Amino acid sequence: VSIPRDTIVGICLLLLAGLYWWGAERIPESPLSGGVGADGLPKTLAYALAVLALVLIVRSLALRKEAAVNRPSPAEAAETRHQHVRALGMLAIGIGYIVLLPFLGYFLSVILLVGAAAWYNGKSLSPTLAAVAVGTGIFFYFLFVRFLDIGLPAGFWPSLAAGLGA
Amino acid sequence: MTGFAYAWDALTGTPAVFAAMAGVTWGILGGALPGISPSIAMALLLPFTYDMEPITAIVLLASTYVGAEYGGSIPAILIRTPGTNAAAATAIDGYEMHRQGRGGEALGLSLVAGVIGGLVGLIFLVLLTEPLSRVALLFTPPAYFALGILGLSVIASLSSGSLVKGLISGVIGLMIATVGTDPVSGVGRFTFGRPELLGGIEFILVMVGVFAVSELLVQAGLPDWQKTTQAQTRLKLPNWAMLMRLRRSLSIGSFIGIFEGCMPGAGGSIASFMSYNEARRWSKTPEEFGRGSPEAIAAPEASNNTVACTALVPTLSFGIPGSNSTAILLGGLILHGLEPGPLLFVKHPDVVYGLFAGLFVANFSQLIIGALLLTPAIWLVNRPKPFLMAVIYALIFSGIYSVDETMFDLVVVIVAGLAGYGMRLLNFPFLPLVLGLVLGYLVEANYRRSLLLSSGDHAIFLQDPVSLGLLITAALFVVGSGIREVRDSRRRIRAAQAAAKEASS
Repeated sequence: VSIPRDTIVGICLLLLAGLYWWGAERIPESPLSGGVGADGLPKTLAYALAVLALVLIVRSLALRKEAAVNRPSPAEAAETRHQHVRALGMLAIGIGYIVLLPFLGYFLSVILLVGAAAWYNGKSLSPTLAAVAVGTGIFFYFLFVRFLDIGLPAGFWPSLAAGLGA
Repeated sequence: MTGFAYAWDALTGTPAVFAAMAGVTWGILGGALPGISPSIAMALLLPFTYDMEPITAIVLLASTYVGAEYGGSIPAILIRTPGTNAAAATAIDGYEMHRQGRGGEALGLSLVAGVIGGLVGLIFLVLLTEPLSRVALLFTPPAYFALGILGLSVIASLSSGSLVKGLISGVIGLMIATVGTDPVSGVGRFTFGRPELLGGIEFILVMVGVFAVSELLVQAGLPDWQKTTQAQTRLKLPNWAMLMRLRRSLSIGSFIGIFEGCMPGAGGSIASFMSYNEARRWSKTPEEFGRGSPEAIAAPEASNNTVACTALVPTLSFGIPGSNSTAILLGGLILHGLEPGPLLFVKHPDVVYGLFAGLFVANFSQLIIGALLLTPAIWLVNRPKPFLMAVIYALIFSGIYSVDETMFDLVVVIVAGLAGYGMRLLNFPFLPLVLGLVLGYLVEANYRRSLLLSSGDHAIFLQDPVSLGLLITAALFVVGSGIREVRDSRRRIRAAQAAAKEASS
């Protein structure tokens, strides 16, 4: 017997409500807080989320027969799984960019981000892909770093240059 | 100073004119890309408005909404893939006209109908919102708290998906808004010792994550959209005789747009499909619908552009956004220290009338910019989707970093993107989450301010007549939606039981 998806979601939300309540309990008291206190709204929200999560669980259990009728076919389920894997891959590219940005610097990181995302989404490794990635990197570098004067990470290049200079 | 004087000042003394035209340009190009809805186009722009003057930023965002509604019709007509949800009705006859070699005519109709609809919507926006400024003095802190609760209840009740999921989404939005320094006492809440969280989680990060990043994650699993040829796509604007022929469908579209725009939760998609159906019902040649009828383009396009203006009525007057796009605009207002609601007209008439003036420029300039941008928009639609996605991904990360110049913001955006993807998967609506997040501070500040006034007595919310009225309305919405949902659930259970019985026999 499979557990309806919304029941699992409801249980997770109950846990979230519990954690949030636990966090609210640890909010320090202050004489400036007034009648309600800094933990007043958070505790109310934790209650509200717990009640709504319970309603969701009850509702999903009541509708489990309908969910069983509307269950996707194995082919549809496989397609959905494939889409989730694709989405996770795209997410991993974003995480990779965040990890590399402080080390490689903005210019190189954004080139790698564009190249990796375009390749992952179906473009084969080719001079065109490289040209688009480098072109976007140059354009974005001039737009954000030079024109908008945003202090994007420079990476290890300045220290490397300083080391070589010394 | 009169409203007209404020509007004139905005046009002559600020970059509002340029912001309007830039917004329309960005909106058309963004809206032309399938998957980039007006709200995503606006969310992508939000980080860049951070350092702008409030009036410039608000006009830029609102004009993007206007431009995106037309931009969405370009791929709808040329490749039968609506760039925005609201353009889905246009795709039916628009693509048919394109197949018949009348693509340029369809695009011209869409543009002119959109401009007419937008101007009608703007007139009603001015007419409907101005009188509401007179009720501003009735709004006390309890009434403002009740207004926030009403907004959340209405949006949770009317959002797509179930009521309980809408309410959960709104509560989670409020929870995120509690992170950071408490607005009254100054103590830290849910900061886990991280200094980055002392200022709270910027809603701009959550908006970009749930709207834009989650869309990229969804698109990663979908195939590239169809491409088009440049042939048959020379813009052909309708002449006067054609406009006269279309006056009925234009009127129907505009009227429905006025009504739907003012209704929170309705939005342009419903308005354009309703307009399509009504235009067919009242048409002298209903049999032409679905076979390339100009009326079938005029009505939905007039409608969704009317909505782009009239959806601002509840947003500006009560702080209740009717759609994802107006929720982003609401975020833009709050980001620049402008509290939406009746007092906005009293405290910041320059911004309100400046916005009206900016929308006027946006709608008019759309006629020229729309014509000029057709070829670039087609070029953009024809680019390989992987490149577009990659560049948008880079734009998101670069734009977000420019807000506060911290790596932490990038982490928040990616987490919000994952959460947004999960919400799409589990059918949790975005709008209540965004609204809870945006209104969280106002709701809590007014709640606690009220209790300070009443020495902790909650009866203050029932003693204030405006607050009482708003809370009763909120309760009616939730109870009404709850009853409807229970009824629907029972019907679905019965249907499932019948289907199971049939399968076993």
